[in-house]
Amino acid sequence: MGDMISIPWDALFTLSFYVLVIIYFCYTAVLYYHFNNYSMDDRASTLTYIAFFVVTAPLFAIMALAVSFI
Amino acid sequence: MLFDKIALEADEKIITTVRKHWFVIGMEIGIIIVFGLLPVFILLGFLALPPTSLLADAFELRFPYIMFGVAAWLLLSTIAATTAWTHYYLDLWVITDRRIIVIDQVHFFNRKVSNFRLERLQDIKVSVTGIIPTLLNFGTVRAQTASAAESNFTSTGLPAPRELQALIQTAMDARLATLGGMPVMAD
Repeated sequence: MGDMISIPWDALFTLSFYVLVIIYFCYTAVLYYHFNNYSMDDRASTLTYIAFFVVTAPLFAIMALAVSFI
Repeated sequence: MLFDKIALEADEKIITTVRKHWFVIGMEIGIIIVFGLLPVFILLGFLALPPTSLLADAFELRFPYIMFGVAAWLLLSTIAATTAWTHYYLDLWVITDRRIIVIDQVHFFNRKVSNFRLERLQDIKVSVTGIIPTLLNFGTVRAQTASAAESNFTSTGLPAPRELQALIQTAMDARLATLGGMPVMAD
């Protein structure tokens, strides 16, 4: 029988946090590209960016805080 | 900007632009919000438990993990809602006095842009099916061109489809009259 590899929970959550950060940055770049190139209205694009950041920034703050307590 | 990419012809005028009905995006985002807030309601349920219960102790012990999970779930829900909004916003019909430009944003990396000249348009069919589409006045518009069958186009969930049909018909008649290809029917 081989040795069991155990991953500590805190490392797993920290890793998940970094993966989410990468996904978030990639998604934001894709979102920006699409609105920058295909939107008809600058105001609608700006409102979309603002709404997206207003909702997601506190969520990242909560996740970062949770990871620091784990 | 979009109109920098779609080169309009000289003197070509945009009559109107049409997006899907608000109910379509409302339903999509509504479902995402319900699923997104589901863990928040479960969390509130746990917080309502009496502080002495075993479950409440476990909850307190695992609080950072739970908060991380809920925040991550809400983040992914926000991304899903933003994706739905982007597809709704970038899905567009541009009707000019010469052609119809149909932009279909299927996914982020799947975008179809089709041009149909009004003089080649043969038939426009409108269908409003169901209680909600009838009450809110939205439906499917199918347009058939004189070209190959593949160039026919269909869009679902368009607001005021009969008015849109009439608008395209009027623009088509005006275009044919300009080209001198066909007399315009008198009212």
